[in-house]
Amino acid sequence: MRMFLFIIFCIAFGFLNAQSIAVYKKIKNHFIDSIELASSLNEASINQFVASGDLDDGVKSAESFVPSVLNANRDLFTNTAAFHFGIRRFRAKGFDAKLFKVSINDIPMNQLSDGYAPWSSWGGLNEVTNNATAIIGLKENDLGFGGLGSATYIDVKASHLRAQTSVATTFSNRSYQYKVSFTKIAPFNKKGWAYAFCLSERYGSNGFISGSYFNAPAYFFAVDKKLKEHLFSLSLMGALSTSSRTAAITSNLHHLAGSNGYNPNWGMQNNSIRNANMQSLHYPLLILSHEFTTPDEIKITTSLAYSMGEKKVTALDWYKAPDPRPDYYRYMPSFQSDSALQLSVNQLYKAQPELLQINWNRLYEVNRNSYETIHDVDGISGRSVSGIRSRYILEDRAEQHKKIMFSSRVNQLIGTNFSFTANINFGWQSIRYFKSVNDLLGGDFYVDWNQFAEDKSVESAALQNDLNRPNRMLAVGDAFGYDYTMILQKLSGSAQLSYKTNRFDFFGGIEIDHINNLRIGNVRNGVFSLNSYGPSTSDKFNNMALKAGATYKFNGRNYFYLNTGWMLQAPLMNDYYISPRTRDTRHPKLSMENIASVEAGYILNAPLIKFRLNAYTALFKNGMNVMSFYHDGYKSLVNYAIGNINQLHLGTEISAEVQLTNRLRSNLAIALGKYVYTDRQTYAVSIDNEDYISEQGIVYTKNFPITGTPQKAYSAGFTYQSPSGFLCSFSGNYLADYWLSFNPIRRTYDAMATIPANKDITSITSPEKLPDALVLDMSAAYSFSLGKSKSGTYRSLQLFLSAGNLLNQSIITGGYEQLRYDIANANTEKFPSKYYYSQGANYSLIIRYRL
Amino acid sequence: MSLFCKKILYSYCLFCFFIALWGCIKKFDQPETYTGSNIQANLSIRALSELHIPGNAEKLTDDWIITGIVTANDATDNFYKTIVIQDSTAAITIRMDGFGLSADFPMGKRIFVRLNGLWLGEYGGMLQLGGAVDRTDPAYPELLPIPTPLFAKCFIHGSKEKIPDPLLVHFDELKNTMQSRLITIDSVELVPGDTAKPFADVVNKATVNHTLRICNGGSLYLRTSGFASFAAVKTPRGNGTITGIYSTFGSQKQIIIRDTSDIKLNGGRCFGNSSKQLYYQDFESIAVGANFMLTGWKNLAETGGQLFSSQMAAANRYVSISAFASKQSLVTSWLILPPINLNSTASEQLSFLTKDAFDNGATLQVYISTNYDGGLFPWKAKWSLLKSLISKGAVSNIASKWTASGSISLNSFSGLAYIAFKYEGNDLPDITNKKTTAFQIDEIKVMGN
Repeated sequence: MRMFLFIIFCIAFGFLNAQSIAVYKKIKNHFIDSIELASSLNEASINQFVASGDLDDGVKSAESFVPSVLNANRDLFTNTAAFHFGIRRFRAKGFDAKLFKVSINDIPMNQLSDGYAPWSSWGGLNEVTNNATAIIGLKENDLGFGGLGSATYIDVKASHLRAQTSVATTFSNRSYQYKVSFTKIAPFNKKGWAYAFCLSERYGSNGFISGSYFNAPAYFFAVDKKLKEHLFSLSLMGALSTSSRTAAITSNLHHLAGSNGYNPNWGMQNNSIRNANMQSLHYPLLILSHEFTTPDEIKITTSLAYSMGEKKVTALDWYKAPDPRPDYYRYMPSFQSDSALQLSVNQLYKAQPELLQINWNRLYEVNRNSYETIHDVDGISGRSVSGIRSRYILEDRAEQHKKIMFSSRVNQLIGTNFSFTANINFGWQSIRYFKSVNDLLGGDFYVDWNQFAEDKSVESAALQNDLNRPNRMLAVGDAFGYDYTMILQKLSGSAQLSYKTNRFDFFGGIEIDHINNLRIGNVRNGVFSLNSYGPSTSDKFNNMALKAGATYKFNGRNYFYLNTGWMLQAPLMNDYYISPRTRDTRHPKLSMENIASVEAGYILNAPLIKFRLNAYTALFKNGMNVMSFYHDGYKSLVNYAIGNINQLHLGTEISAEVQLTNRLRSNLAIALGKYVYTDRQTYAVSIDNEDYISEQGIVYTKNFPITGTPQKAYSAGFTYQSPSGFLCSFSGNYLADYWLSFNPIRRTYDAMATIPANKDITSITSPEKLPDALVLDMSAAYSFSLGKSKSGTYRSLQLFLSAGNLLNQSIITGGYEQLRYDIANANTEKFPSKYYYSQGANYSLIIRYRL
Repeated sequence: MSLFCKKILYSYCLFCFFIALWGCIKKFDQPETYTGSNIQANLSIRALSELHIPGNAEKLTDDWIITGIVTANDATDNFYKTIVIQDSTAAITIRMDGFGLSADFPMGKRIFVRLNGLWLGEYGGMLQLGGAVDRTDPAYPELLPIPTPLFAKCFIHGSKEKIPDPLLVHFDELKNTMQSRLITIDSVELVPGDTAKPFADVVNKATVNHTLRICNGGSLYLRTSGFASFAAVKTPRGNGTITGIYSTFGSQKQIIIRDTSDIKLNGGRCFGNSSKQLYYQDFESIAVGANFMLTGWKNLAETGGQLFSSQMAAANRYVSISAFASKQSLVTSWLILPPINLNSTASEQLSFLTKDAFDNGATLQVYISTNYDGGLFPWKAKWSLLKSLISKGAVSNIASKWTASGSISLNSFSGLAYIAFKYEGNDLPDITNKKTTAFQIDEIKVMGN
């Protein structure tokens, strides 16, 4: 259905941009929902999008008990946002992705390092991971404390999945071209065993993004054993994903290449496409669970999980050689100040577009001509080795994860009105970050030197990436550069109590976390010899969160609610280690983030009209962040430690669905948000070759917009269902108020110093807004019934077609201001903003055979 | 499901996973080693240079191709955004707007240059090839380097060949047609004021011209960039040959080296001595039997009050120290030479003689300092230990022979330097911890080139 459009975007871009992970995650969920929707066409439950069902006779006497609103798993607003707003990376309420929690069989999946959920590590298994419950916001929640954005609880216990045997194939022109999956889910047999497995494969190459590649087989196995009131479950899942990464490009380059799908990351090598930026990952996840219900209705759910795996991202590295990336700014026509040369360069690229791709043959040729002798190899005085020293290599930026997680939950009904939920979670995560040599590209060896330090210091120690093993010669597979391990631990406990009366539902909850983070350096960096090697001191934090709310149930159709939450959150490791690759230096002013939120709303569930209105506000105080980039003023890699990030998120979400006729319904979703930074931020600069704060100051960001999401989004659509069950829908979506993430340097006092008197300051300081976008999408679904099988189940062949961006527009889906800035000349055009461009009209067709 | 359906289904899935597996084991084929191009040059560099009208700049509009072998590039950063190629007739400097040029244009690489669209121009009379001309100042048209993206169009790589032998020339044979050529000049040395000086100003990244003098008359500049990787290395003092790219600036003749291996100035100078004695002391003038005292020297006790004394044996005078009979728990004493200026020479070497007596573990060590103020508290200054051979092991007598320290290089130090002998011992009552070794020092010499 329409959601597949967003799957594309999530795959094309979501992998690449942490900001879009939230969207990606939602898309996943809703993709699943769409399948469910379509698969249940025969059941003709067209109203299942509406949250609360079966209330035809819900208007009862005032005294009678009114059922509470069901959770928003199929909330119309959330669905619409995921399917239709994803092209601009819409984030609900403008919240950061780490506020959207995900768990599988009660095990929290959000990484302790950056807070994001690694959706791609179980991608392709939608047929089982669709079995999820999503709780939007800090609502009453009997599965856990929840998240400010949302909490998605995926349940992959074999006996909890819908029994089926199905084969599905997808054909698409999006980031992958086909997908096949085989799912078998067998319910409990007489001996109390249930099992499930799902195998899938997604494959694509050289799709909409030129030089792209996608190959991701995935597997899932689960078995359940019921023993009286005990249920034991074992699940194993993982995806071996290999995919190309996409680069954002400047508008000049977009124009020069003349294609939305231009991608500078690849080039031809011996007549085949070779992409320099590939990501491969595999994080198998094993979960052992136990469910136990006592005779007095106390339910205890316990899970233990283990996961270990590796992610590798390849990239080119080079030493004493020109930048091999074809989109390097010095290679652009705009870099030429002489108009004749600018024209020549422009003409050359037009005539030979292959020059805008990587020239692999040249890299080999350069390496083969690079004969060199290395002295005092491995720090052994007098040991010299000669050979072909690669000037270009392909490196792996690797992350090796190990995780042990434990979770236990108690649910108890106390009397008829109270219910109690308590959780305890423990997570231990070890992540080793390092680089290793992937390909020497025709050379014999590479050397473990820091080429950026060489110019900085005449002392040769600074040149060494590892003083413990100086002048180390590297072969394929050897670790080099940075190498450190983060040990992250989190222990959390939460408790919730809810109370239901005839007219009111009340709830309250508390969560307390203890966090312990530690860095262990595996090499002694030549520049930071004293604080790079060995364990750092550990950082301990205590988080706390509270929530409470009430719903007034006017009758079975009209509900009013008010929910509040307050949180004190420790910074994540990635937000306060200044440069963990080189040393254990932390943010100069560690602070806890303080979050307060209130939301209130109205829900109408009438037979012909479903309406929801949710108004919310959230206030964030004392957030922090670290940015690392090449600074043109310092002529070095610098780390900006940003502090005092204070945000206000204010808005309204409206969704409505109106049944116009028996066959036609209309739906509407609107997000009106205003998300701003309410104060000036602070920054502290440390240069990556010197260990002290070289500069501190204020970033003038007061009233700046929160970036990377449309703050306003509108969707309107119609769905038609024929008597035969053919379903077709069409929607128009308008996305407004999207700002690019901004560069703090341009909003500092220092940046003002170099602006010429006649230049408008706002041309430097104002954040950049993308033009609003109007996108049309459609989808259709039909299910052929193939009668009963011998075993008595109904067989069906289901078809789903979705088409996105019907107007075939070139839409900028996102982007960022480059952090590199020509401060001396106050020139924003030297390193202009980079953008991601959308695919034009696109489609996806799913054919599914189910019995 | 029928068995047939099942079979088809399972084979289909198997097939897909096979494809997935196949996709995983993708190994890239390596390109074959480049063996050059069959393109032919149709113009010699000499003929190209003759197209140039001095003081002018010419755009080349014909499909001419020159070829040459790279004789200089930016490998040591002494050439900036420049390579030099040479054929059998002449050589030319090519201005290129990029860094790391040595990667694509290593020494000895044959290069073909498509001239159509490029410009001939000059800088200070030096002929160059570039990408465009900036006429902002009409009186001095400035040649702009060739942009990196145009390299693919302008340069065709040939095979790697032998770097041409430098042209051995006498000073009076140097002429403008030799511009950019790899030349060797012999019987040459740096003028005294330019010896033992850094090749260039590495602090300010400034270019420095040192003057080379030819024994039988004539002089030219040795020009070195402050960005050169060897800029901080000190110039040699000897006489010999120098190889490099011949360059001119106006009427001034210059030579630019690719690396320090281009300089072979090891022979005796034709102007002045080949080796210079910076300091010598044999102590034959001192008064024997008292604490040692000599103009410019410092004889100081940090702890324990023991000073170096003047002594004589077998008609040879020397200085000596011991903690013996001092009854001190710690004896630290300093003997410091007068300051030595290391700025006017290169490859300075220190040597001296020592003898030990009744050795039980006290130490004598040699240090150098460039920040000692010459005052009474040398222990407050920063000293670097010099590795030297010091006499030891004469447990029950006085060593029978003097031990030579060996040649101790002072090359890594510059400016006004102090050399100190530091004695550390004690006279504890406990015989096992007592360190009272006596040391004698003589024949201190510092030489420089």
